[in-house]
Amino acid sequence: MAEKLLEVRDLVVKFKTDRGLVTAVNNVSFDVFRGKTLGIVGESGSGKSVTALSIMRLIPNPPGQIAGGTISFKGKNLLDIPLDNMRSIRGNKIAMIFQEPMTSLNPVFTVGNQIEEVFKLHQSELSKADRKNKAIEMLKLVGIPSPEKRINEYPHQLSGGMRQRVMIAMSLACQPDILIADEPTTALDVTIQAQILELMKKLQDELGMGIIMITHDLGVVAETCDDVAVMYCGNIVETADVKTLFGHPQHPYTKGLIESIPSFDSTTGIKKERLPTIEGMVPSLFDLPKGCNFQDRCKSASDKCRGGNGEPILAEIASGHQVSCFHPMNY
Amino acid sequence: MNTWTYIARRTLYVIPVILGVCFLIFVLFNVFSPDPAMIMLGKHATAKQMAELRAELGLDKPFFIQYLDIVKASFTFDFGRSWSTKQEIFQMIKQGAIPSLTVTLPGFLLSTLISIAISLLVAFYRGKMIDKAVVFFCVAGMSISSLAYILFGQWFFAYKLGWFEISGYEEGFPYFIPYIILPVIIWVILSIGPDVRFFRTIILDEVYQDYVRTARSKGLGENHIMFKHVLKNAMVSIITYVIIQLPFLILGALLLESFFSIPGLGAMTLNAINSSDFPVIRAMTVLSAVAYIIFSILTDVLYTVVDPRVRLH
Repeated sequence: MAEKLLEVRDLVVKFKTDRGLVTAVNNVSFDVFRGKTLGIVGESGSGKSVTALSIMRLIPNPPGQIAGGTISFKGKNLLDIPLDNMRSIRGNKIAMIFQEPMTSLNPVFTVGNQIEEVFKLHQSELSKADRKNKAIEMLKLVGIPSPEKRINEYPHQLSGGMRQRVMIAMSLACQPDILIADEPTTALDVTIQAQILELMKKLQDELGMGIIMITHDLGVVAETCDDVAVMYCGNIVETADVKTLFGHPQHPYTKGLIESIPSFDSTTGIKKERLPTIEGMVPSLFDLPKGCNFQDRCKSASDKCRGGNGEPILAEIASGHQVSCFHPMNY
Repeated sequence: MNTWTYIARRTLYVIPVILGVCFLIFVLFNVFSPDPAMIMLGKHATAKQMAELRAELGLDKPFFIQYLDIVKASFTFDFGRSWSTKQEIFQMIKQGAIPSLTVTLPGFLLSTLISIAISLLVAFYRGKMIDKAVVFFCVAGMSISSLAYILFGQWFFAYKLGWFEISGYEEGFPYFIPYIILPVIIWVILSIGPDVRFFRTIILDEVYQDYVRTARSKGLGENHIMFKHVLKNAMVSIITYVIIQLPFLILGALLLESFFSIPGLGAMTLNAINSSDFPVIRAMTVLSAVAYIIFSILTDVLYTVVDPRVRLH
């Protein structure tokens, strides 16, 4: 078994809004292992990004607040340590890349300056020349051609894919234990998307970090992840290893997501049929239904799901496979 | 394109702008305004005296020639003599510039630096008590007339407490210092309200940008993020705002100078307006137009220093 790097238990994150307190993340638990990738999948607003930002303690407070749970990084609860210690972990031991490569880099500083800043902060023993060389090395590592020249360029002189490579170079500069990738390829072309995912996979093999891949794209999950957690309305509704999840989805929501991946007939290359969709909308966090959050969109919902039995609880139905559903699909 | 070519080309724009400014001055002062000869000599003057004075001032020439005279004066900076003091205007401007700058320059520098510092602070504590309090005092301060600050300052701090000189001026460093302290303080107080409100908005726009989140995720501290990442991005807008004020530094502070009897360009302009001293008003108008153009060129050039995305062409 690989080394357990991160253990999140019963994480609760609430946001204060004009319409009252909402729970964006509700009792979420998962583990991240060295050299493995955990996928967190869900629709917009399901709480996946908030979960990621909580690990970095980057939830804007106010209005957000981590209301409960623990986030243990190598046995130390990140929610207990002083902010200064947290800062020395950010970008150093746990790094993050974001969805919007176009705006995530600071437009008025050179790419080199922004990468060197990480070394300046976390490896202050390095000389100026060393920092520059290491920045060039990082750009080379993420496959940016002529890095000696690129290092003096500004973000606007690079394409979206190149900028995301720079973000990756920056996040991996200190060889972190964990990389959190918040929809790293959503804003990119499909071809560039494949390149970036491949690059991350390759760098994971070389550097051995654990990755948390946050995405709404099950295609990305199938390609990159070892384990998956499916989130819905701030809860994890199903978690398993990739093979099990795709082969035997237990939660109707997971099943719906998998069915709505476009598939092609392998001989003719033609789309087989009309793509099934999950009917209805995600309920508002202000107005969650009694019982199961998914009841209004679920074909097999019964009175049990709608009634006063409370929410379904995440329970293990097979080794390493948990689901929170009153009527799991069964093998 | 090279920065110098850009500056040269933009400088050439001064020519059509000055022609236009001259035309406006000419129309306002020579065509629409009452006869200056009558104003200067009073209503009991004889027709002969008036005709003589008009000839002396060049007001009997055809309009077109008078216009050309103004244009010529603008390009040579030889504005002739003041109608009321008979001094050469160029000399008057030279003499007035130093006292003006001793008030406006420290006032401007202090108020800009203090305002940027306060803005960064309140942007950092956005939404908290201190932010709300500062915004409240800015608005309250802006709502009070500048005359109130001047009169209260002179009465209370200078007259009652005797901390400063009430008014007056002495040439030469360091003799002028006691005289400029109170005007500079009032300048700073007058500027801080609008400055802080503007800078705060600019900085708040930046604080919520994605690159700030990236900087935090790298482990940078809030001070470093504010002073390095946010401030440099905010600089683009701050520079525009600040440099547009610079021409007014040269022109002096109209009210402050006349209330504190500082013999600067502001007081000079105000006197000229009061005594219908057209050549002086004309000179100051042309001067401000030129200063405005020069500083807007400077703004454009500074953009390229702060923001690498800006190219001049």
